[in-house]
Amino acid sequence: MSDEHAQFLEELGAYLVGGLDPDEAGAVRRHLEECAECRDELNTLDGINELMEAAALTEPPPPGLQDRVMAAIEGEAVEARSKRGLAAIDGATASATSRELGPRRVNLSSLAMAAVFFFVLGVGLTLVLSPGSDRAPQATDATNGGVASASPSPTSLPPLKLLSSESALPTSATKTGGELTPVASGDAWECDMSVWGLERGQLYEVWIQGERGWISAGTFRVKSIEHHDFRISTGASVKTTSRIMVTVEADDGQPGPSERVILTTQRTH
Amino acid sequence: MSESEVADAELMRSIAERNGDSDATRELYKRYGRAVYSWVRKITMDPGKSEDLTQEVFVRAWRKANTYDPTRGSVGAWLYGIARNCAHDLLRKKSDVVGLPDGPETIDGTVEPADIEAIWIGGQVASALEVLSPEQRTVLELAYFEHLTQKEIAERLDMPLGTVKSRTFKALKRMKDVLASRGIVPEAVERG
Repeated sequence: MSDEHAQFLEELGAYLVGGLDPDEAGAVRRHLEECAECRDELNTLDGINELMEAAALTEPPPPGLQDRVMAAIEGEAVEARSKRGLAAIDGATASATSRELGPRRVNLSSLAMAAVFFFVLGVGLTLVLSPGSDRAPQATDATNGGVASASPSPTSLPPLKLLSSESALPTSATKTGGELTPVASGDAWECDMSVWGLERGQLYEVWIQGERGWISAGTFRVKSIEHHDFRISTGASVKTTSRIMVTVEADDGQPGPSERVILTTQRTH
Repeated sequence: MSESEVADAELMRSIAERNGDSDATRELYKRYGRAVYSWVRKITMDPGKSEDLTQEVFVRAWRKANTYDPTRGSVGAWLYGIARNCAHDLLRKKSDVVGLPDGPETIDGTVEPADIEAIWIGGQVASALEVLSPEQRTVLELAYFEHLTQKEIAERLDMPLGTVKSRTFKALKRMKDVLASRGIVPEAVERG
């Protein structure tokens, strides 16, 4: 291979992308008329050139989309795993999870123990809101206490405010919050939840503080950063707990809450 | 092609057999995310819907990974079918029009099917650039995406013009191999 030929060969790429000035392009064209090897190479590379031009018609996805896609898939995977895991467990107990997304590492034994504990003792705890809250004491439901004594018709307690955790959300604390309304229907206790200001793409988990520690009430993801409504099945412990919180979770299989507390509410007995 | 690069079919097998191997799923997105997003972007003409549809395409692909049969076609073609089905569903919701008649079309009908197909392939090509070395990838991106001349690229990168030309040539040849490994073989252009 002559030096001149090698030089023209290496200029074929620049020639294809239109990156040569007219004199240089003319010299390449003249060489091509005489050199079959360079013509073959050019024919091959021209197909790649067209594909590259097609690539230029495309646009990259937004930077956060990959995380969002992966989070959605991981959510599906969690749901699938949970369905398999819960298949043999009593449905009523297993329903202590989010309605919109499947449960994730719900501590069923703790949940059941908490429900039984409160039922047996006939918990006489009356929910009293923190100072400044607009929640009224729920004498009837709370003093009757327990899962079995819940009214057969839907009964709701006044909503609880979920406040942003300053440590977790230093920049958007004023825009982040939520509300949680416990609703009893027959023996089941659920909560209507509204949250706002939470990032999409994250996996959130609702935790209820019980006698033996934190109990997961299910996971959720938000569809909109502005506002997201959903319902979770919490069990009766939501009536008597002293604290509820929402954390950001990494879906890493850890049984307890992460340290990233996003929302929290405090009750006093 | 990097020897460590896993073939598309192998990726699908990992996703299916390991019930959603997240590394394989992430790699699948790296290879096809741009194609899917660009394609649905042209279909919907709406960034928000495009993100939702892209997510739906990959979620469906994840769910159906065990149905992929390499003897029936490439992963790209299989994913393209899923994307089309997702677009069908969107169109049905939007206007009760069942499906995309003969080829993909935008909701407002402004994009020609040929362009749409080019975008699908182009998205895969753009993603394949990631396999190149940063030096090779940069010269191609500057030439094709920013439409810089070779001299402008040399100035931008502060390197000799000859180096840019040589690197462009080698990068195109490397792309040929990478694309071939992913089942994308351009038609040779006959010249007189």
